[in-house]
Amino acid sequence: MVFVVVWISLLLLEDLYDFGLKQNQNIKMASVKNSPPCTDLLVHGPCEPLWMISPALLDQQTGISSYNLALSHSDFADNYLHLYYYLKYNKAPKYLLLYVTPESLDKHYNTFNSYRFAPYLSDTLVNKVVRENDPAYFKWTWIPFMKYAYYNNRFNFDVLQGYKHYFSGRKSAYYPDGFEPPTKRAWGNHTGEFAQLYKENTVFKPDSLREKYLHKTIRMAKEKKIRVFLYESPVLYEALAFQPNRDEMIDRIKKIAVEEQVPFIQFEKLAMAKEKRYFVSTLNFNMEGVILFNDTLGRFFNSVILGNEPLSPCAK
Amino acid sequence: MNEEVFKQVEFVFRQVFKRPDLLIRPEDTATDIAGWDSLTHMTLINELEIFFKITFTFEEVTSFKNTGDLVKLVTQKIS
Amino acid sequence: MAFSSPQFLIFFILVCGLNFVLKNSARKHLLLIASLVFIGWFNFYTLGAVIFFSGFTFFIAGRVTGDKGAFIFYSGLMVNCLAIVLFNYLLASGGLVIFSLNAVDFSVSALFLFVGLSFYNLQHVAYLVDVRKKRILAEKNFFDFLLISSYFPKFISGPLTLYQQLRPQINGPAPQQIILVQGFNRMLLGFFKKMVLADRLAPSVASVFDYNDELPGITVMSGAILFTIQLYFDFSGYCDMAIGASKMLGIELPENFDFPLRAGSVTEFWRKWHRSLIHFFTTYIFYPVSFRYRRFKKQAAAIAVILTFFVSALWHGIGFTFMMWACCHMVYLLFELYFGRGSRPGKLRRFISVALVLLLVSFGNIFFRSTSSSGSMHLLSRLFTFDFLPENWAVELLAPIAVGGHQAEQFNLAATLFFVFFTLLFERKIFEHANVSKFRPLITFLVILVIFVFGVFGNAQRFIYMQF
Repeated sequence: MVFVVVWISLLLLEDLYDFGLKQNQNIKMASVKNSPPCTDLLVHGPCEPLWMISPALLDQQTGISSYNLALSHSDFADNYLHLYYYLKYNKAPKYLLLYVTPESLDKHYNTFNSYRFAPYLSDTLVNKVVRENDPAYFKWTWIPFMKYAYYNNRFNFDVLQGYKHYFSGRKSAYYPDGFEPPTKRAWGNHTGEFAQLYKENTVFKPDSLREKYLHKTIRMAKEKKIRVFLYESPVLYEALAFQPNRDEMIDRIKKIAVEEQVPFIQFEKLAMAKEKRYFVSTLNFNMEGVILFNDTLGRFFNSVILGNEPLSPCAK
Repeated sequence: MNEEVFKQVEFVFRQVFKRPDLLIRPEDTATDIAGWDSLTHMTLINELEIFFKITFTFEEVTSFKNTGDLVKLVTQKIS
Repeated sequence: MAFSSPQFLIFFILVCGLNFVLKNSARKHLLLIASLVFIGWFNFYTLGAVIFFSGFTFFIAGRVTGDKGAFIFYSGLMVNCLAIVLFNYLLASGGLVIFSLNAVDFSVSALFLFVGLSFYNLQHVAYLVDVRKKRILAEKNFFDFLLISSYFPKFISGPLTLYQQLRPQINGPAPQQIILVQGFNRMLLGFFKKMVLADRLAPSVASVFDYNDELPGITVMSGAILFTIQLYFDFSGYCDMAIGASKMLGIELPENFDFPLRAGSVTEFWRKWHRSLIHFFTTYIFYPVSFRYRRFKKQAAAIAVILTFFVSALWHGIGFTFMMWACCHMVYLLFELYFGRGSRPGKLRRFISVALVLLLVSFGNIFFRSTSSSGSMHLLSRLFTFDFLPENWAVELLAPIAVGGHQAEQFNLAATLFFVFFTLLFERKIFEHANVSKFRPLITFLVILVIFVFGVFGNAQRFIYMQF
């Protein structure tokens, strides 16, 4: 008897969570339904683009309209599903700027954040990708509410916030263009950070699943006639010494780019990469670095891409 | 139970636990008497041995359950 | 098979159901098979070691009495003690954490293997001593002996049970229905403590202990206190599950905790914490030593304390950190031995002494939890610097403890701390409720719901250790 009551309650609770999470405007999966109506440039990837590419700064330079779809800790499968959901509710943008580095091909860096897709498991594509990327999680999702219980510390707050947004009628995210400014943290001990990030001269190991979803992401964009650019932002120069096979991995990315016939833009060796004062970690800038980098990126866009093309439909 | 032995045991308890007003009951266990724990147990045993001029065996001192048992044991030893 | 894993639940429901319907004479065979399956599930080698050590101890136990038995007795002790030291050495070379602390990349089965075996051999030591001292008769039936020493609810980490505690129970009748309910309630408390409290605190503790960050002293101390609480709920929750599960199979295991965080002195703390192990050390090391040298009065107790904690440190694991942990407690206990202790009257005074004991124990636990000697030294240096208080409380205290600076993480921390303090405050009441033999639908329902909404399932920590 209690078992039945518990089972039914869990089913109800699952519905409550589904609804709450879909209302939370600060979650990109939910807010893409209300994202900028016309986007020319979609920025995508893990935390590096999220914290380093500011559509507001970029648009000042380029005059086009961009949106940052990136999310921290995400791998390509994660990116793939977010792009899929974005395209489901929005007009396809003209350009996609996708962050690719040696780290993103190695499964020790970032991950597939299955919890982000918990409310959307009824979608067949989402369901299939989650099953492939986090089987340990997926195999329990048949138990009512287990899709939330399994990673519940990720949801409780967001659900409450979702209901708050619902009742207050909020329609925009806290960061409306998707860019999150970097944390204001001081970075003291550099070598300590390297040691944590690249233990014992980390050798990157390419992962086939990562590469598969990189291909899938590029192809999904190309099907929608989006021009895809792969890019790599500056890496703190000192850190390169700790990564013996970085160049090999870069070659691997170049090969993929050639295969898919998309350009791979490397900002790795910009002069600012030698200045520690711009970084908060080996791969992330502070706000000072962000401003400088977006300026460079904007000028690059103007001269190399936009210069030869008619002004895009969303131009302000 | 031997009243006189009981009073004498009580006297030793008062000395060991430094509480002149301590009253013990036969059903008291170590948890009932503040300060009586494994740290002080053997000190108590030693003082009893000196006072009554007796010797306990190891099995004896780890087997009694309350002060009543202890008094019985002492009574047996001195008679 | 960890107790909170789904595999264990299925396994246990099967065993429990069969145990309930089987005849009395067949039940012990079922329990033996279940225990061997349980152990074999972790590791096939463990099962081999268990059968080997049981066979060895069983074989020599019949020959340790009398004058001629002395040599065999001491060799038996040596073999079992060496096994413990060896397992601990292997453990030390792999990484030193006791109980499931959700450390990164930690091989759980290897951990359980060795911890399980050091409990296992300790029970054999007690058994041999008791047979030698003629407190009990040596067991005649090998399979009964094997069941008693490998009985699965207590195998991994206790409660440490003596042969004489289990022997009369293995032929007992099947449990009545009310006992089943009682056992179930107790297990539910265990799941709550483990999943909602201990495992939720684990990442906060890890963020203080595992990253060598330059944290202010108060953050280190808070981390140490949270670790003490985590360890308590982890281990006592584990024991609740073991005791409850065993109850449902018709066998009573001894209690292992007596509200230790309410102790008013360190001496009292050790009467209430991990009681089955302390009982073992008291009976087989502390009392014999302090009895033999009793004419030296307090010095005898002092020597016995030092020796007992020395052995305890070795048993927990080989290494500097465990030795330092033991030294802390030696100092505390010797201080209390010479300068007095005990409950002083008055609620405020009681509260102060309880808080003081928590601080002292937590300080010692800095060594217990640190994964290396340099790690513990680093934390100590943070504790004794001038910047004990942070300049920015949100960044230097709240963020490390909440494992992040976002609202969501602070909300999770607040929820966890709420449950922790609620449980600590009403500990006795909750314990009473967990031991009733009546089925309480509403409470059961609410506890299951809380576990689902706030408990840790699977490896939810997977994301926390990602670097960027």
